[in-house]
Amino acid sequence: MKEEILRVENVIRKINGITYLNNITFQIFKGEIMGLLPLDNHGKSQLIELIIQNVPVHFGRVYFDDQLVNYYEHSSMTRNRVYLIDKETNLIQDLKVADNICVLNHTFSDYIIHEKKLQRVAAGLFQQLGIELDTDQYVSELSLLEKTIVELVRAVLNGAQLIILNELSNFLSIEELAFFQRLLRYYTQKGISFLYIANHHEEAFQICHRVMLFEKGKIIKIIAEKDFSDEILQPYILSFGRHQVTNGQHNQTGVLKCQDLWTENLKGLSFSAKKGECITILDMNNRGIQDIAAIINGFRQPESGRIVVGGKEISLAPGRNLFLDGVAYIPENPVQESLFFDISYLENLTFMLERKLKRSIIPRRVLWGIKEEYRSLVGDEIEAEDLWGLEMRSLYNLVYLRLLFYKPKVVFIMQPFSHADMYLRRRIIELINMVKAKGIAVIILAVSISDTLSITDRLLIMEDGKLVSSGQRLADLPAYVANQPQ
Amino acid sequence: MKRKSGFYLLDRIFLAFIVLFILLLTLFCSFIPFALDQGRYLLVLSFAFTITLVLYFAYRWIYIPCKESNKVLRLFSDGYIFKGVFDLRVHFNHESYLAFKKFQEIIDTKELIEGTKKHAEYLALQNQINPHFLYNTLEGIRSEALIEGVESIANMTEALETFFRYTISDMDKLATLEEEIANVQNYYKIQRFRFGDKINFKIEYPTEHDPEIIQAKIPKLTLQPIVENAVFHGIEPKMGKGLVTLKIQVTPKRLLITVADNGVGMEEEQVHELNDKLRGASLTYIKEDKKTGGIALLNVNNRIKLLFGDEYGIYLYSRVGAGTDVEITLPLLF
Repeated sequence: MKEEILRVENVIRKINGITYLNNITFQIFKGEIMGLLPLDNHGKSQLIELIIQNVPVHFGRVYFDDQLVNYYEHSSMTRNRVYLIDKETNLIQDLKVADNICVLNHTFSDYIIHEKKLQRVAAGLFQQLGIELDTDQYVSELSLLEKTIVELVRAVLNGAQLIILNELSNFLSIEELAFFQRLLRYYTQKGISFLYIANHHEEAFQICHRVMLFEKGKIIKIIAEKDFSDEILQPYILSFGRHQVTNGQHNQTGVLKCQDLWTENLKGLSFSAKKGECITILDMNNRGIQDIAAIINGFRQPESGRIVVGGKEISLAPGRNLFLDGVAYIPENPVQESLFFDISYLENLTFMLERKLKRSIIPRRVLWGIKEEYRSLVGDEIEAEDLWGLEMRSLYNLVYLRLLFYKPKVVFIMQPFSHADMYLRRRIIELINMVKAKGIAVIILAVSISDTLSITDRLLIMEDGKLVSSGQRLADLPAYVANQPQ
Repeated sequence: MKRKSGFYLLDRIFLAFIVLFILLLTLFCSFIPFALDQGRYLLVLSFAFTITLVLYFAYRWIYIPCKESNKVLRLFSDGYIFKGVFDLRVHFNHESYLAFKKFQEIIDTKELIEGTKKHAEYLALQNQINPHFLYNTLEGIRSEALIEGVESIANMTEALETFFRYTISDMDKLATLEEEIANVQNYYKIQRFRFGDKINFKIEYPTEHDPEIIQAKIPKLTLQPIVENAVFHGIEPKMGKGLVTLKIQVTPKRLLITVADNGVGMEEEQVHELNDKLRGASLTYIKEDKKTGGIALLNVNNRIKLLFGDEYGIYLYSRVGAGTDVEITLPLLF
């Protein structure tokens, strides 16, 4: 007989007149990994908030461990025994692993902290999992996988009965994810339940016992493990199609050449890209691509190696601006990191125009011309005085339209589909295709294949800082990659 | 009919309280300079502290419970809840508590349940005397008689007889899950004669289930109307074969039964509208035209909510081309 750890019944949650959760009903059993596949992101964070804390609801009931903890009449605002693990870690970076696990724990009641005792306890926990991790290390020195494992262990020691995992494939590489999923299976046998939030059904189908589809604030389908298949999802998901791979015979001239790049995490990386070509670098360890991004952004200088753009070798000294050399970079969360919300749409689009035109004052007629040209692409959004009222799709349009405007020779994009729901991912694919059509080379830095196969011309796989395979078709790739979510 | 006065009683109380508070505040503010001149700082501080304390307790002890109770009454008037209105955390006063209690006795949910049972009987009888239903059944019997001989006619007749006997008798009792499943299987047998292998049916029990589960008690005629819905609205319009699956899940306190079909599914708006109606117990559907979809669902849902409470009932998942799942939540009773 299965026991429920969480039951959400007919919950409606409205905030400022907007309905974020619209009559949702589901339950999670003890020892179960329940998948949540948000087709759009509307209501996702509100759902997570509701599960973690008993916030006011317009209607409905929430039961946690068979106790009614929240309902339409009274919301106690108490927290449930739920822990959230996502990319933004809850660990204290300046404390050691043992301290984070044992001291920052509501079950810790000692008056005096015996460091060696804490380290023994923490080491014992990792030993049970078969992991070797130095508990005397500071959290800031750990890799993302190690931090995630520490959070998991901390959650379990804290007495969490339900752990929410938010889009792990956005920050864990394929190998790391497979390893972490083994730990999840171990803990389910101990009766701990997980809510596994994934962007792709293949990822969820690999690990979950059931998967629920979430769209517009509603649960629209719950699929049991034995029914997992692509066919069952067809009425619910968009098809992105498979890009026609060119077998590497791109008829354009080369525009980018990276030769023999060496850093702590790159071991002689060399690759090239042609005009309008899209290359995905799939990093199995999630380290090398961080170094590539740091080099492109001028935060880091490689120990050796060169980058040639448009036939000209560019300086890789820290602090220089690669934009002037025709290299652009789109970060993982471009809306938050590369847009300025308090200035107008046009200003966001043209704020580096004076460098491009080499003029300190831009004539009004030039700005007017740009406005009218882009009005045909984005409509009246071009008149927006600030970005606060725009939807996520419009903001992503702006990020990529800037590329079309400045026409760099090559653009590096870090994890383009991270944090994007299904509809937004389709739009991002369209935008990247527009960028390619302009002859701009696109280099995607990724830890999961995600939807990149819909746009990529070549897939380069990097392991331990070295390219191990440059398959041009999925069939050429090693099995463990070919079987990953696409 | 008496003429209604302008303000509600609670609103008058709040208004009076606000006026009193403003007067006190004015008095306090005019008192402060005088007290400060006299050097009575401690008096001013303690007075300010007392006012703050009174305001805080008034907020937590009066305003919040009042707001919560108002919300429950609004939800009741909007049709979201039914029995829940009798379980207010804090009543307005002793008299209103007694009045609600009396109200609950007078309403007598048994009468309402009788109303829905009568409606269920009515629907069942409607199906009996519905010529369309009888002709199709007879047509099936006739075809079988021509091809196969007497044995099939006997089988079909027996199935039909069993079905009618179960359906129209003893609506008062709860039936066991076993009996309900047997009724559904009987119904499926009858429909099979008409649809052939277009309609298929299977039951899924939990992997480690207690054989005693099938003795759990549920309201009579819970499953068959839902399965019938699945057949006629889901499978029948579909090209090709269809499958109706009965999935049973048990927790220590609940029985979760899902009737899933891989039929044509429903439009999003329709699903949303039905789930809104299924959220609360309502009898307005009885007056609606029978041709309006979802009446069987509403009937079953109402009986469950009236018998067991608002937290039980039916929820629907469906999409065009993806079939429909009807999830029935019941308390686990033996």
